[in-house]
Amino acid sequence: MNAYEPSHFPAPPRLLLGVTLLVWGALTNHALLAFGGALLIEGAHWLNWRWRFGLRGYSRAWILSLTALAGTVGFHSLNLTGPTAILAFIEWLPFIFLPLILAQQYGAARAVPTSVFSIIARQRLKRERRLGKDLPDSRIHLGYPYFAITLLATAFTADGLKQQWQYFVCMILLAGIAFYYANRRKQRRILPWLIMTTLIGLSSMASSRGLLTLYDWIKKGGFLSSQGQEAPIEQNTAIGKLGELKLSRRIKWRLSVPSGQKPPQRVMTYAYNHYRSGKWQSFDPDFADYERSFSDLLTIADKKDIGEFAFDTDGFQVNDQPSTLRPPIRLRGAVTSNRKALPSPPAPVLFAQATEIDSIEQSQLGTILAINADNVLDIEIWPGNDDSLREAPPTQRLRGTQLLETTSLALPSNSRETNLLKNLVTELALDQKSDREKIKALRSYFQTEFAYTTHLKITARPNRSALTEFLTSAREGHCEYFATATTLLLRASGIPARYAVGYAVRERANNAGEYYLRGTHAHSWCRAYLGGRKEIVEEEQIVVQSGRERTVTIQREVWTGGTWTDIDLTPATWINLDSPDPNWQEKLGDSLQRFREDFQLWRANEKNRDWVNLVLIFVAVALVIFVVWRLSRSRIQQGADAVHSSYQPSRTLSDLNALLPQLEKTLGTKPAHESLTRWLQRVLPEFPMQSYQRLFILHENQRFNSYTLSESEEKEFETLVHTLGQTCAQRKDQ
Amino acid sequence: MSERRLRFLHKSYSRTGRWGWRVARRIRSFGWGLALFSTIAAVLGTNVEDSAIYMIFCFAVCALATAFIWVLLRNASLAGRRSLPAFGSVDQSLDYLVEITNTGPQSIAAMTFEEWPPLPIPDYETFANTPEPGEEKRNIVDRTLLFYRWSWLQERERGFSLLEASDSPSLIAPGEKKQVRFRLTPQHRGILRLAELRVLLPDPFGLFQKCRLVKTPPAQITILPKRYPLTPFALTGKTQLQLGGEALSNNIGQTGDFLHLRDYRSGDAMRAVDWKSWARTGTPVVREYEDQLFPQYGVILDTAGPPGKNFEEAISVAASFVSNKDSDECLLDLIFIGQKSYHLTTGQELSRRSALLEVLATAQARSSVNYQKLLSKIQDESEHLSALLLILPGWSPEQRAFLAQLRKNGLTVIAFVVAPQEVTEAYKQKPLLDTYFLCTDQVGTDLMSATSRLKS
Repeated sequence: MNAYEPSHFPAPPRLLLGVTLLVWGALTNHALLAFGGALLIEGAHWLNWRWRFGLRGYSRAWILSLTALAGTVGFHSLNLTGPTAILAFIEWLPFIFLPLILAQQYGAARAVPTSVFSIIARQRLKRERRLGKDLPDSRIHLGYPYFAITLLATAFTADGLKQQWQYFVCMILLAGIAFYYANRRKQRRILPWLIMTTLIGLSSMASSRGLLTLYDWIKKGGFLSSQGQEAPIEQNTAIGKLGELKLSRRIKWRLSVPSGQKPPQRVMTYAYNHYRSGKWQSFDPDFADYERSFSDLLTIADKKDIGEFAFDTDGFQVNDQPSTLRPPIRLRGAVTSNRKALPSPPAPVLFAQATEIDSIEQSQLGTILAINADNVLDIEIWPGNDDSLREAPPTQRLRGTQLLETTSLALPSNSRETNLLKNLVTELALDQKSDREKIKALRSYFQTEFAYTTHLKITARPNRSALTEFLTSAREGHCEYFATATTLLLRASGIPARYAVGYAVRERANNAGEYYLRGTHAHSWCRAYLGGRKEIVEEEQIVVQSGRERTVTIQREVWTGGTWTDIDLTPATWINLDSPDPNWQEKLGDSLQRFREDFQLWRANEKNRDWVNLVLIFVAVALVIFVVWRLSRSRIQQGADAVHSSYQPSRTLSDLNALLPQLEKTLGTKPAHESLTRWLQRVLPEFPMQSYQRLFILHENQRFNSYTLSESEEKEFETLVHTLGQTCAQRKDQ
Repeated sequence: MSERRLRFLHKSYSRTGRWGWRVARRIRSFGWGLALFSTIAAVLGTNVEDSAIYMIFCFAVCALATAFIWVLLRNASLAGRRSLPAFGSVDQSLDYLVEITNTGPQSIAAMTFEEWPPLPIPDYETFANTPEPGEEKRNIVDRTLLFYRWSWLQERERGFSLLEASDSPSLIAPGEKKQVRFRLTPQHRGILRLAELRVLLPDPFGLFQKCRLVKTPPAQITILPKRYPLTPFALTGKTQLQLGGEALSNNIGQTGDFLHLRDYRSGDAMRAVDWKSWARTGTPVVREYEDQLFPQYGVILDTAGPPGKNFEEAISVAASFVSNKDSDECLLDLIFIGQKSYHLTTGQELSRRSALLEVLATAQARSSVNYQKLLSKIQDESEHLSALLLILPGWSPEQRAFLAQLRKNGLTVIAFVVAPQEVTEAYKQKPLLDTYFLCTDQVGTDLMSATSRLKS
């Protein structure tokens, strides 16, 4: 085998791994840990301590790393939710693989056998060798893979443009040095390396900037969307899709209702006001930037590390004073994004958090978002009576620079759909009815002529949208069809209406007053503004015309006096079809989920958190002490084999030495002044000379050189020693 | 498995094998590592706001692209001449030098020289009919795709592993000559051809490398079979009148003890004339020596059966007897390899042994052997032999019948059977006369033990 195997990585230069770990520490705010790790890793270059790990030792280091990986993933999955929980361990990869890199650095061998990383590969190798195949040992130096892992872990936590560019500079420098030393000494050329590093640095900087620009462009809707404008909040529906509607059975939220109170029938998460080709959008012409259309709720109490957020402080006593409102309902659930919509009953007044939330925001349409909430959200919601706090009444808005439009009355831009809706309104004589009668007529229309199904078989055809198909020929569909049709028909008949999504509160949990909101309980319905009347309001507004800002006076219609009311005309059978009783696997999954969420809530308490951390630290320290104790017993000095082998006779005697007493019985005692090889040749000449030569080479390699015999050589040596013994035995017989 | 599928697999592996090897050699381990790293970064780096992994992706892609272009721009024009030994032995390292000349107009820096082995492409018959050891224990996917069989056959037929020069120069000026040294460990016997000396020109980051062929005249080495040490042994059988010690001596002619002088008779060799006595007496006088009696033996190597470890070990056993220098009281005179016979009648001792080893180096297994024809040939040519050593790479009924027939014909035959452990174990319990079973996995030990028993 060649001294340098092309398939194996060479050892990285001194200090590279240590410096990389320090960069990781600096950018992840774990500087002290990183310093300790760097000292341990780089210490191997100055310390003389080494361990002869062998396959078993390296395997244990690997298992220790895997255990640390599993522990970190488990810890994060208990603490975090969503996709971030799966990936959060990446930040800790340098410490997860620390046992392995330390085994590499302090191991007597120059590289780690690759079979360490797979039991299957190990078994296969054994089997192949047993079958007589001569397979060479495949080994890998873990320095460079560890370097790459540390760079990846550092990049994972670098958020914000400034930190990212700091990371970029460090990465280019470290990677450049790494690649320079990856070549063998004779192949290192400073000038070409410098040119190439500069080229790569500049091109990767340009491409990183390009990628950022592309990301911003796509985020702003530049790709197949609104031509570079900010994208509004959008709800993709299953309208026009084919196949079976599949929803998750997982519990999304748990709702606890105080005893004596009835749960709300449904809780809304989002409301939308603009329909476009099977999609509902949250569109506010006054605020093109949708983030600006949200406003923070008032923070009315934050003295005890818990914030309370309200639309208004009227009717509510702060600072632990008894409230005049009804007791609150409690909402708990996992948070998967930093802008999580809270399902809440109509007209909430105040939200009191039990876990950390930065703020709560409200949109004009009634969507309420928890901003940067903890992993599991636990919040109390006080219900009120004034629904106008949550949802603004319909108002005519200036769209573009000229058109005044009441978004909650807007019909689809597709003229065929609009004509159909108007025809239906005429057909059902909705124009001549009061608001209540219109709803009654529509309820009767949908109940008698339409059916609920989760089997989606309506698709858009040329000149016939899926909604048209639903209303004219198919006449069956799921809740999104019913909610969309209801909203648009009400609009066509002159009632402002919006499309709302949320959950139906139907499934009672085992705990008293608790209800599960599963994915299958997700529902959509219509929110209609009933009993309102129009007023004309005159106001000044700034508009941009030909690139210049101009103040214009506009008159617009504002609706007052009505209430936003849930209109759900989906046939009531939907809940039975969509949400059968949970089976035992689902019940088990529910219990695990509840346990996980409750544990996280328990841990969120600072007192409990301290206890958990103490136990974890104790376990980690105990493990480290155990490993250090085990290692302290098997430590060797670097180079001890070659220099001091004579002081360790039990380890370095060869098989031939072991045979010596048996040989001496027949051939006489070996004189002390004569070497074993000369003595044997003299006293046992009948053993073939060529066999002697081979025997002595192998004996000297095992006895005096720091050279490990290969498997075949060991076998050959055993054979020769055995035959020598037999030849000697024959002499005895003669 | 159907022939159609076997042919498809053979064709696929033959094509992809050639292509895959050449691509693999042009991408260095750091290139593979960076490609893998960029894939991981592409998967994890979609969130450009909260992590900088996308920067790793950009860096990796730019580094790979720059290195690729850099390597495309490198060039070299070199010629070389190998200085090779005539023979080598299986599993024994040998060193050789190659003189490299830069025939191009530019200096060449940062390079490595490699000797690429000829890529073995097993033929269809071998692929279809030679199962890998332990193949029946592999899982169904492996047994269907037969990739492990293909790899095993390739490895078996590969003469040597890829060689890297131990001291590649860091710079060669135009017209300059440099020497590089290679260490070669042959993996199997036969004629080993060296025809693909390459210079590898990497980029400064070591991600890719250009592999330029160095113009060299084709060269070859004969790789002799593996030989095992033998204890001195004595063969049974009649001793024949021979010119004493010829097989062991560097002198041609009689080498026995001096008996007397006698008058010259027509036909006596000129070198037997005792010139001093002729001068003294005036009549031609010749010296007469004592005739010597030496046992002579022949070796029969049965080549019937599939190629494989048994057959290779059988060749090694035959080679061990041919090259044995310690048998100072018996002579090897004849060897049958398959249907052909080779006599040791002319030439010097060493060269004769080498010639025989060369023949053994190129011996091939045959699917069938006409034992009747072989029997009559042996009968014709081995009358003067004391004994025959029969080496069998198996213990089939035909082979057993062949041995029995030889003995029935009055020949003294000592048989060595190379067989798997279960066969050798069975015959340990009830040994056969003059038949020694050598376990495939420990032929060396068993052979020594057998020859030591021959002595006793």
